[in-house]
Amino acid sequence: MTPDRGSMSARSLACHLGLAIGCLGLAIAALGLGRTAFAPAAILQALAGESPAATRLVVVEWRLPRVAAALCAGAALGMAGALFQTLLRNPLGSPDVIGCDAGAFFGAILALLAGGSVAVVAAGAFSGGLAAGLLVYVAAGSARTAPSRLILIGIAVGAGLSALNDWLIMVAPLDTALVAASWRQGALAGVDPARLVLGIALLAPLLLLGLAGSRSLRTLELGDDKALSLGEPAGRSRLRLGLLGLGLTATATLIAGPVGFVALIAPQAARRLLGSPGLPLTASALFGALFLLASDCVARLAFAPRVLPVGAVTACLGGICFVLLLLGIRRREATP
Amino acid sequence: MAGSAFGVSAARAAGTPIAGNTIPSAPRRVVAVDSRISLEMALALELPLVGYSHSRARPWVPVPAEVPFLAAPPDPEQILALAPDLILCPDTAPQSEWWPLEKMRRIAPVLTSDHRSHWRDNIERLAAALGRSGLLAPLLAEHAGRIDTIRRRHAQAISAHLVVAASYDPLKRRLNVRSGGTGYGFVMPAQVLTDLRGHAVGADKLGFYGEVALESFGSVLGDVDGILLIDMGGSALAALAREPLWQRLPAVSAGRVEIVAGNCVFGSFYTARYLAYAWEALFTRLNS
Amino acid sequence: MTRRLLAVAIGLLVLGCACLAALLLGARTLSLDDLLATMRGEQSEAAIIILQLRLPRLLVGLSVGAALGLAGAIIQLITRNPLGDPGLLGINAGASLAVLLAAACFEAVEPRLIIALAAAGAALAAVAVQALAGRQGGEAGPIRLVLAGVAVTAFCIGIGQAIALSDPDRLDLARNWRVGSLSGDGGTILPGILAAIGVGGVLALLLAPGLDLLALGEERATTLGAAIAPIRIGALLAVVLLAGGAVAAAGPIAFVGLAAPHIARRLGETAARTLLPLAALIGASLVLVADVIGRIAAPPAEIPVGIVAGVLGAPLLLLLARHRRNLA
Repeated sequence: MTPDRGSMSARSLACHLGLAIGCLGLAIAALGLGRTAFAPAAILQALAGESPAATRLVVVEWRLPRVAAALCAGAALGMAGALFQTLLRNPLGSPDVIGCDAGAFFGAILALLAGGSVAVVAAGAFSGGLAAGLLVYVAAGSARTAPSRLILIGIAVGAGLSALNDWLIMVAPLDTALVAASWRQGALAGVDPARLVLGIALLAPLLLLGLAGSRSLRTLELGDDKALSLGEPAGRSRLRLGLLGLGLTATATLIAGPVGFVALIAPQAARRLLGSPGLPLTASALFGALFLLASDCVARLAFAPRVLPVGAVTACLGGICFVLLLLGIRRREATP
Repeated sequence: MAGSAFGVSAARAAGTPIAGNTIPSAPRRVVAVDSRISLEMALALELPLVGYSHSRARPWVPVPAEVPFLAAPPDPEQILALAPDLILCPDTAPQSEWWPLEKMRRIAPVLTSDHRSHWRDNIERLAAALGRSGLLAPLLAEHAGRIDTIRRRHAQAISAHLVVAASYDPLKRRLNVRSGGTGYGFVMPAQVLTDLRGHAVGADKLGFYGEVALESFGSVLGDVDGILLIDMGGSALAALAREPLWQRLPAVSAGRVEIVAGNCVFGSFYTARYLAYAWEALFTRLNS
Repeated sequence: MTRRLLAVAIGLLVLGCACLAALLLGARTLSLDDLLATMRGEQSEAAIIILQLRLPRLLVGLSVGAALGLAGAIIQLITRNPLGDPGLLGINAGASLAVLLAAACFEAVEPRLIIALAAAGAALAAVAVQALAGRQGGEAGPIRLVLAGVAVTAFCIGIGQAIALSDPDRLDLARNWRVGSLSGDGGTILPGILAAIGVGGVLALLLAPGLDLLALGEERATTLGAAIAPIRIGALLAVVLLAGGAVAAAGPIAFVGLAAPHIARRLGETAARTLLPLAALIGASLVLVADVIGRIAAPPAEIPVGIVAGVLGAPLLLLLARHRRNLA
């Protein structure tokens, strides 16, 4: 029943490569498509700084940050989803379900209301996400290893924070409320350059740490006892990976707002693509990036000139992915 | 805070070259990003418009039929394709998707407005930046004359009566009173009433955005003599008319309610003119 | 037995105080004298506020809360899932989508029609979730149900957001349908919600013995001679009526459907026959208390009950979850 290691890694390699190429191809397409379309050659010229000012403005200054934001936030959410879903051993245990992005957004919006700079808003997002995560963890108390209970508490925390966010947006001064409301929908169009640069700077080390944590994650999947026997102190690596997941979620929220369903879908889809037993970190990140970029392209182009919030599209596409996932489960059950 | 943001960006927009351009003395292709303040100012100053955004122009704003309504929220790529040489844009939420000031500055020179200031200050500043103060002067004089006439004709009613301008939200069953000092800032009905030297219910008696719950109608609006009821469309006014607590208000039972059609909360010259006549109609009612 | 009586007594006492507060407190505070004068039939502004605004609102709040409590209890019993909440079956999202679609197609929508549409949307979403989840049996049954609920909810929210944002005028309606509120016209809403909760509640109580068996797990229920399919279908019908009626009347209110059964269990109730009424009682109290708080917290404005329930419900549920012992 177990496939041999050789074919497994070949498939995995092909999938990773395919996802990476997909991201790159879609990124070039996203740079080229829009009200005015540009050929790939023109895009490369614009990126090299050898094109007319108007082309450069559209491709480099407007579309590139948007594409970069989608890729970065998507990768962060995909990896965070894989981390959380593995730690909680449940496909619903993703950071957006258990309220971490609502917490990060709460922190960010408080900082925004206080008139803080980009760095303060980032710090707000991190502390908010961290606080929400710790609240869930502490509240779960002694039974924090029981995933369904932790998720239940997470949903409670998330709904409470979400209500608080509604309240804050309702009482905020009109113009701040306008910014916060569109940020909340996951509007990549309004991505603030300073926020994006800071987000990317924060993201790079977090993604690397995540990749380095891949081995502990695989060990944890075997169960805490087995992990301990392999020399992996389960509690400590759990905490470490959980904090990493929170950091990734907060960064994604900082860049793109609390976009739902990416963290939920990406790990499950990546696992099915790879046919791997656990949730693969790198492939989840790549799939998350691809998924969010694709969603953003749909949001931007499908109903042009109307631009949809990307959160609406991830929800729709996420719903469809979930249906496929379900049908897969049903088929497997029907033919055991 | 509002004042300083206003002053700084005004100086930057009007005085310095932007994206290699300076403010053209005779702009030929102008985009108004906001359909209320920007659009009305552009029309009043006879700027050649190539498009506007936010929401469709209200009936009392004389937009030429050939000026298109652009994508809303504004799409920078669409505006760039129109090749404007001047853009009018509010500077109160530069990071929001509705008024993307920084992106607009990369397309063409931008002149800004601030809905928290008096419309006259906004348009005077714009006219000065474009060297069109001469064009504006007769308009302002015309408006001042109108205000003077109304004030003289209804001096008694204006000074003796407490009034409000409000719209009704049938979903939340509350009035949104458009007095100055609420979360919406110095809204147009309040600006025109202030010019007329009338007295409105203060923001301290209202919710943050001027809300008054149905059950507080009596305590907040019981001593109001006249109501300028803004009809935002839909079946809101029919629903309001059915409410017993509305019917019981002294102003309502005495028939001292004047209905003004259309969203006139924000705007400039044309909305000010529209509202001046609306307030006059209310004060005429109060006199009779 | 004494504990059960004590629980009911405390529940009724809380409910009574909440009712009194709901009639007297609000943007305008009324006195007991006002209430007594109203009961004597005196005509005054206070009487109008009590009889035409607060009483219908109180009754709608009670019905909505009871309906949510009952629906939550049923869902937790049949899915054997502590995450059980009417929202998880896609009912809230379906209702909001139906309202937004109607608003997008027609200029003005009658309040009565909005309620009917919301109920229809809730029912459609629930049916879609069931169809997607497929056969109910098997160990994975409850998980599939939750996954199907997530999928349908996601889809409805996505399309709803897209519609809402395509027109600034509709944004308000959308915002209103994002957060539950009791500020609607109670008199118009009341008959519909009362009918829904009446039929749904009776159905739920009739099904109580069967629900107990289902809660033991499908296999044991079958060996004990229960006819699974009719019980499930009946229970789902009851949930759609109850939760659909609630969301149609007040919009989505988080937590009540989740927390009320938890509190009931915390008070020692596990048998459906007593768990259901107690969950209804607690649900009604929770909604009413949240509404009163929302009305007096920031006068003269109102905080919608959905927001208060969310903010207050979270710590409450945390507290309960920490000490939970009797989770099915």
